[in-house]
Amino acid sequence: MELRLPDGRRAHIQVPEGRHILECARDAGVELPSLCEQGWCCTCAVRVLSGRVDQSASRRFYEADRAAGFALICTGSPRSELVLLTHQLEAMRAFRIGANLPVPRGPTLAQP
Amino acid sequence: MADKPHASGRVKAGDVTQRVGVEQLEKRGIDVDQLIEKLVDAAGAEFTTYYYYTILRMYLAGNEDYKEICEDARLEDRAHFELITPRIYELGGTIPYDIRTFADRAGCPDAYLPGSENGKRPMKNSRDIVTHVKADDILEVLLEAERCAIRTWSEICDITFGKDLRTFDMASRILQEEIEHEAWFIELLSMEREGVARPSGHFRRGDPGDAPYSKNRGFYNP
Ligand code: FES
Ligand SMILES: [Fe+2]
Ligand SMILES: [Fe+2]
Repeated sequence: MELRLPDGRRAHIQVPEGRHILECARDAGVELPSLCEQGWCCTCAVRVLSGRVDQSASRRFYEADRAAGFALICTGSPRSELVLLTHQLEAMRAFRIGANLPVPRGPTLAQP
Repeated sequence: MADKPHASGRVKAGDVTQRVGVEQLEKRGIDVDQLIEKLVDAAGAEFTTYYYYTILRMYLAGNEDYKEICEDARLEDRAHFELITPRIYELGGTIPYDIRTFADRAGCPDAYLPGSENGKRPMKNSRDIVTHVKADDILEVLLEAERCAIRTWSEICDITFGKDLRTFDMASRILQEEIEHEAWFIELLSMEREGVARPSGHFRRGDPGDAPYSKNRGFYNP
């Protein structure tokens, strides 16, 4: 699968069955933001440019999130070939607020 | 006045609508609005954790030592909520007026009882309790809650370090206790699940939930 960072970098990583995207990215040397690592806080949010992510391990993920093109990679596993745009906390937070869905409001230090 | 740089600033004498305690943070590069949001998320997580640990510790029958340690972590999380909440107000903020909003925006997940279907398990009435819960599953919930707390307070320490000494002092006290909590639950979960010793190096609290750092009490150092 492919990770696109907002600064233009691209990383191709392997995510074996049953593993989560964030930990495999880290194993491959790609540092990405996270906080709860349980699929709750949206710090690790990405935009799904193509493919499908299994979020069954996430603590709080809504169908509306998926429909809006977001995924939480700390607890997300690929269901297909994937292209993901990373560092989407702000966008996902704005979406949740607009959709009247719960989301933490604090900033994260991790910037691309 | 010009030769006294600390006596200058935009807050006029007698102006109670401004805070020099905030102005000085902004001068040092702190985004106070953002800091308040982060503190509310963190306070929310401490508050929900306190609630959920109340349930978790009820399900540790036969592991009386685990119960006590869970109780220490529970009460210390309440102490963390108590320590940081006044700071939110001091900075000019507030916690949400509705507790549901507060819990929903917590920076860390609800620490649900294993077997409660993420809290959604249908119940006939309040005596319809979950009857089978394994200690190691509870310890894992506790451990992951502490890890989220460590990441949260570490970030707040990073945001405030060298700029907002007051919030930094509070956050670093809380962080110290969160690090102890993680070490306790690693020690217990490791032995319970794998039979492997991974000592935490400490356990002793004076009274339950002593909170030596966040309540500024003596910590154990015989
Ligand atoms: S790190 Fe919190 S949702 Fe992924
Ligand atoms: Fe805490
Ligand atoms: Fe804790």
